[in-house]
Amino acid sequence: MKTIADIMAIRDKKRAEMIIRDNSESIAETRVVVGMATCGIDAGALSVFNTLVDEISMREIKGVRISRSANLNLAENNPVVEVYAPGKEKVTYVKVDAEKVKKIISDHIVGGNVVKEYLVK
Amino acid sequence: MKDIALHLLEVCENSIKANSNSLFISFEVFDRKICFSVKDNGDGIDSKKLKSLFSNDLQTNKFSGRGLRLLKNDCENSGGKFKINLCDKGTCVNAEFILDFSEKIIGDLPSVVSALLTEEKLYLSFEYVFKGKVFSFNSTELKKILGEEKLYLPKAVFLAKNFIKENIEKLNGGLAI
Repeated sequence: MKTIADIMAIRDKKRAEMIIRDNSESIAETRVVVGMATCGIDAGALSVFNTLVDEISMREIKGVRISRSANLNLAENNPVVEVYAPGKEKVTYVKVDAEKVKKIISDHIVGGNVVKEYLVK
Repeated sequence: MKDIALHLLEVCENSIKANSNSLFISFEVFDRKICFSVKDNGDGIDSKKLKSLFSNDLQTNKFSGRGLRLLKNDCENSGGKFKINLCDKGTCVNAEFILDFSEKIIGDLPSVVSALLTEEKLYLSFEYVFKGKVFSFNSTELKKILGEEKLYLPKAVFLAKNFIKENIEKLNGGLAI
């Protein structure tokens, strides 16, 4: 559990980095979207989203932006995660859980290799 | 029933889907009651659709609005009320649960609010009231506190989540949520 003082300390430490990053706006970002329609939420989309946030920030992985969308909904294949890597086609992962997210981060977002076993069959 | 934070998330996702760019969320804990309200400036629901949303006609109800119907059921099953009103610009949802405070019933409110903050160009105002004590902020203030404009960056979501969690726990008097 972080106190507000800790957060401020992190902020100060990070501010220099943030300024550098803000100056390099043109660097392509990988975009990750979690489906947050009713079915996705029922299937555990929030815990998938949480794992993404925690893992990517703890591991200090740069160049990733994350969001959620109620328009992303694949019925029995929820929770769904889409990865848009710069210059690559969109990749859609289905029936994602916290463990699968960790592998998607390591293999795909960091390593650049699509995790084929989590794609729709 | 699912926890109240997840109900709140669904209502807000509906608002964003309906092209809202401003959300006012209020979440209040009383002695024997937990309430939330969401006011948006989205497209709204036309009154005909609103009627059919809660009718028992399963054919028209098969696909849309399931989340709102579940929320209405959970509110009413607890002895509380559910209201959805159309305003001149947008929609206002009020959910009331007659329940004792517990972390399990409320769910992960900090994660829900920080997830919503990742929506670009969304102005979000959040207020948490625990037995009369208030914690509130809006997305503009939060950007200043975190020193970060881009609330969709994982680090910003992480910091926002902890900021909200810490403040809610303070009001709850050390009871973890």
